[in-house]
Amino acid sequence: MSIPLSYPLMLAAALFGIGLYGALSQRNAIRILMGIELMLNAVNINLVAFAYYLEGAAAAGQVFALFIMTVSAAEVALALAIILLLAKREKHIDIEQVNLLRW
Amino acid sequence: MSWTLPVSVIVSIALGLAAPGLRRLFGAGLGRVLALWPLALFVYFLGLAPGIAEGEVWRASFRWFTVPAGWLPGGAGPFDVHFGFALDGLAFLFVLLITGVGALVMFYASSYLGKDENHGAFFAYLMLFVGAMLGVVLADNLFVMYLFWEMTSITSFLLIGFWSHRPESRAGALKALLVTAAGGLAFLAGAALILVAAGSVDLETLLAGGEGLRSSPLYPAMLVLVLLGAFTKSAQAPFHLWLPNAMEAPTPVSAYLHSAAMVKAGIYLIARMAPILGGTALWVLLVAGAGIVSLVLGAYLALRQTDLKAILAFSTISQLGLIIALFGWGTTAAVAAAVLHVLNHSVFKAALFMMVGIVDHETGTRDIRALRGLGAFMPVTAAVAMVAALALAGVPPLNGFVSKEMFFAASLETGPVLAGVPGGGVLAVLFPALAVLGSIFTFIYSLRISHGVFFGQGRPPAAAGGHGRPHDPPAGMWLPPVVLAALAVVLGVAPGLAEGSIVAPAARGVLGPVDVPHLALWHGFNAPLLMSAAVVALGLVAYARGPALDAVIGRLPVAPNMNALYDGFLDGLQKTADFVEKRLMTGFTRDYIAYMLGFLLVLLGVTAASVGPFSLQTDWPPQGSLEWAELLLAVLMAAVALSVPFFRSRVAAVVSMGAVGTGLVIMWTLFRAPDLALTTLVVEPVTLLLFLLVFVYLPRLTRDVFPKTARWVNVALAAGGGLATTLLLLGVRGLRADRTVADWYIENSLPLAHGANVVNVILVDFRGFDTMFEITVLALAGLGVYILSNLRFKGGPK
Amino acid sequence: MPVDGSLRLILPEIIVAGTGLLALTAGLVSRRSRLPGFVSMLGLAAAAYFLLAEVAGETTQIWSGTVLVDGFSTLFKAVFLGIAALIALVSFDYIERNGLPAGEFHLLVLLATVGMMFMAGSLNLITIYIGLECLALASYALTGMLRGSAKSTEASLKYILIGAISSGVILFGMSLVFGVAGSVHLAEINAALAGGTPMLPVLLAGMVFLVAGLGVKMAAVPFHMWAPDVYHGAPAPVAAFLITASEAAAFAAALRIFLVGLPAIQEHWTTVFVALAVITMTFGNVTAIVQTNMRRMLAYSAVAQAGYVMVGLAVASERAVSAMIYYLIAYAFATIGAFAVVILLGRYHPAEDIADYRGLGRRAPLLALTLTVFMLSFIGIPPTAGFFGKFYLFQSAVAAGMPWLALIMVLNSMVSIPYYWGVVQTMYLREGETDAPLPAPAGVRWTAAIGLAATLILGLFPDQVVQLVSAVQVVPALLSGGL
Repeated sequence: MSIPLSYPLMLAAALFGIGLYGALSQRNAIRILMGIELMLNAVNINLVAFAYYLEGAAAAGQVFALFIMTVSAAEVALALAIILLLAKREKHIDIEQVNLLRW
Repeated sequence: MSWTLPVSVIVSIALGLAAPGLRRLFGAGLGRVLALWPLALFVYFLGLAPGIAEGEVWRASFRWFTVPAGWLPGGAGPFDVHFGFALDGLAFLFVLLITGVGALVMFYASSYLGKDENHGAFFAYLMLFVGAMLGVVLADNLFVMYLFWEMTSITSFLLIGFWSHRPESRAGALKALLVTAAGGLAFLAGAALILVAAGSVDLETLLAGGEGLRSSPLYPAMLVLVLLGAFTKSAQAPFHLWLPNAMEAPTPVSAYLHSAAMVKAGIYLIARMAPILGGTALWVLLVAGAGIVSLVLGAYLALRQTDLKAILAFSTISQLGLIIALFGWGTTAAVAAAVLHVLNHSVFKAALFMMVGIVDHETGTRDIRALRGLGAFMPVTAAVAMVAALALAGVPPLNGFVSKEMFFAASLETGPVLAGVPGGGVLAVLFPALAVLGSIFTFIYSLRISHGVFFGQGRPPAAAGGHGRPHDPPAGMWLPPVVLAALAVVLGVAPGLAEGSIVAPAARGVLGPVDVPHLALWHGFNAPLLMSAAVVALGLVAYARGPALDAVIGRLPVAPNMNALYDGFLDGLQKTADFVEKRLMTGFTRDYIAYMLGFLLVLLGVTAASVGPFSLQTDWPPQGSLEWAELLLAVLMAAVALSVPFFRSRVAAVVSMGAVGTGLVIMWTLFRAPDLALTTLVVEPVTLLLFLLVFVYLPRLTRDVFPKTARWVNVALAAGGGLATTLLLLGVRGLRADRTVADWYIENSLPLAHGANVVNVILVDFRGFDTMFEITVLALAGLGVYILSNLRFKGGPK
Repeated sequence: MPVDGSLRLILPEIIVAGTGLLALTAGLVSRRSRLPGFVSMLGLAAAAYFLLAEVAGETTQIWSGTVLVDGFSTLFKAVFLGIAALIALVSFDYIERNGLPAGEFHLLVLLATVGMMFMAGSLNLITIYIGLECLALASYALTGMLRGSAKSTEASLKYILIGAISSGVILFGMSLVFGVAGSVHLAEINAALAGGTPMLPVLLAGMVFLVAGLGVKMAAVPFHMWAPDVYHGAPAPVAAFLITASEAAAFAAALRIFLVGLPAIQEHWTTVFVALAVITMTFGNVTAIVQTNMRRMLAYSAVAQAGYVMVGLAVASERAVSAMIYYLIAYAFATIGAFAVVILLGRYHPAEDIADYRGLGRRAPLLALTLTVFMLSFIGIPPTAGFFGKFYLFQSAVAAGMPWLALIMVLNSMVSIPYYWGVVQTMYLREGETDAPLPAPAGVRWTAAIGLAATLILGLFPDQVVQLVSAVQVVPALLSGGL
């Protein structure tokens, strides 16, 4: 296959940017998490694409991506638990209302 | 090796720490008992006088720490820093002052403090302060000196703020600490630069290598930093701001700190550094300049005061300026005059402060406008006041006259010193003129605080305490100032007494082995005598016409001072802090993320710019072909991803996430990563399922909008981030295909690990450890979820 | 996995993780008891014993380069173990009072410690990443552990959202470096870049992402946003743990990544770190001034202190690294000691305002004196450990030809005097509402005492520790001879 390396990398950059936007533009804590997920997907695309072209290092990149995928799933689970904790007490998950701690 | 030097310091500190406990033993007599220790030290050290006069130096030194090789430029080292003490002529003078005046002050304070005041704490602080002061003057290297230097700042803070129920005391204490501790840090920075330039902080070594230091490129910086330390400590203009506020201290504290101790530490530092850093044009300008300005400014400001203690405070600034100016000139005559005046000033100034304490105690006021004719009621105090004040004014036959004469003489002989200084010709004339002017001011306020208060026309006010007419205090309070006043007379009539044993060795500590001019009351008819006569004559006239003088001074502007700057600095700091914080630390997570990403973009931009003009080296249009299906996949993924933040429906957003995940699976297969594809197929749905599950429990957000500006900022940040990375990533081309560890994996996975799938082999064999570790992380996340979720909630804090 | 005798080299980590499970079990067996804490401390002591007896002195890489044992990692691991033990000691009373699940608490602390040990003990980006996540996930959970407290939950939420983004940023940077250098092993990355830096813009982008992502973990301004809130909202012992250990681990990882992996572009990251150091210390000090809450003041102070430490990263000489480690050790003792007093005061004044410290000089003279020493150490005034920490950093900056950076440090120390000293002033010069003595639980007393002793010993007799940190090399000697 001969996909030029630039294309997947650009896709990754686009996903990263979209993920950033998602993390920035949402008030709903869960949607912020989704944005972060997109960013991590972008990282994985990078790693795998690089790995594909770095003939020798294919395995390392793929393995790295694998680790990221699972660890980030764990992170999401923990974040959801915290969000649930928030929702249970505050009856909302709007991060714009979460600002007791400031200044 | 003399173990008594460290012992004198350590025992003082230990007594300080033990004082609150000793209070139970001695009650209100604690101060008198503790005063025995500095007294004993005074007697002991006085006994060393003959040896010191011979030029002996007592030393005690322990290896403190080693600076390992390579800490200094050029990789010099390793070298040892010693916790060292040394007693030479210069230190000897200061040790006598610290212990002698210290003993008297403790004796005095014991009577001064009320029975119900906290004697334990007071004398604890005072003893700690004595120990710290001894440490400063006995230290034989700059680090040890700095250690004790900061300790004097801290203990003086506690002493000044002793009456902590008064806000003024607290403010004064804080001001003193902030200014002097900051100056201390400057001193430390200067010491560190000296260490870099000379490779040592031992005073002995530095004395030998002063030449090299003065020609070092770091010299101006180190000089300024060291002087900052000294000037702040000695309250020299423009850093004199803390001293007037420090008058909120109990009067015995002022009598000690502002005559013989704290402020003299700065003088000591300048005297110590004079042979090392002194003698250059910069030194003369800065040191003599600051000194003479402080002399005139302090005396002038003293004229504007009506509070006895405030007058003495400004007087201290002024008199220390005189001493510092002398060290700035640095001639033999000047240095001899300086060390003599260090001694004289401590004697008469301590007596004056004690006198003020008595007056305040007896009448309940310190206002010279209210205080009149006290002499008739308290003759002993009046005698002390007259002697000490006239010594301050420089009237013969008192000690102040001797040193003031020498000061005038030195001011006339600055020609050779000023030869290399820009504007030296003007300064050579200006110095004596300003010396006379400052002395006239000094003369006037000296009479005001003595003659005016004790012999002025009028009735003295009665003490607020209501014990009738003012009268002389008990012996415990009048004895110490009387001793000092007597000393002022003796040193005036027979200055030779102190010459051989104290003044000459001290001067030699600064100048090296030279002949020190003979001290005498009478030098014959000469220019300095003429200057003194002029001071007395003009001073008398001005004093007699007090109201007219006040009217003139009233019309003059208040001299500029750094109070506004200090307040402004603290205020500004406060406001800036408030502003920055309220602006940045808003508490909104979104703001935090925005700031962080914004700065990330800035960093990217700055870094890109710092590389200079670089071609992006893009391989655009890329080599190779793209199947339309692949392109479609990429576009679809981007589009679907883009929909995630925009979908109103939460479920739709989750479905979009799933679509992106599916796209990823296809990509992995395209990139020959089947293991990854399979993993994604498993992990992705689980994550999405989690999202969906949680939705069940969560309230719905009705509107998801921000203010318009915020939305644009978001778009800009995200677009900027995406664009910048895209641009940079276009620079990727011609990847190196070096042989790396990965090849080793591929070659070895079959023989070593008996597996054909490289990724699998890596996961379970070569990177088995990471995999295991990762499993730990997963378990950890599970644990976190378990703890935070509701499984075992047992209520909040008890 | 080629099995050999190398397992003993990570025996300390294994012991710590095992201890965690034991502590959890202990917590399940007897709830409310102090057992898990004792188990944790014993386990940490055992781990430290094995670390010092078996591992110290070794320099070797095992398991396909995933784990590296050398002087640098051993020293950092010892520091982490010590901090974890002190945290266990100080939290006995806190756990009981707030009804925290003791077993889980200690397990999380110990797992975070394991994560940190791998962050310092590897040259492999994947391992470093997993270590970092191990630490991070445990920290998120620990931060949110006060489930009854809105502040705790909020801190935890902010922490995990920003932390997850920072993970993304770090990973993006790692992926770029991997793409350019073709390896995830720092020594190989170094070797690949040694002959010249291909695709410099991409590499620099990777570097910037790494700086930003690690900057979040190091609480470097302006990536510090989470830090004050988390240090304020988290349970007090957890805050102390994060300020000291977590930050130290981030610095350890950053040192390895930049000094071992990316020396080829040192001029670029040096500039960035110099800027970050200056901004961080200045911002931290200035904002700390207006704080009225003790914890928040300490939080901003922590940001400022991170700025000082970053000077070492900016200078990036071997000596600077030694100075950094010295500083981190000195700072850890003073911080945990100060937090011991904060925890005690929090028992009686839950608001944790600085005003609550009024009259402490009378109510608890020894603790007040101890806190004064810690404040002096934070400012950098002798005879405390902080003095030598600052002095060595200062010296390394001057030696590297950056005297102005040293001067900025000094100016910053001056700015910091008012707020640190404000606490002392409050304790000694302000009258409290009551003079009632404050009885301190044993754990708090011991922690404060250990902190005090260490601060004074490091401030009076720095020699031993200076020799120790001076022997440390970030770039292990074995790398010069190949893998």
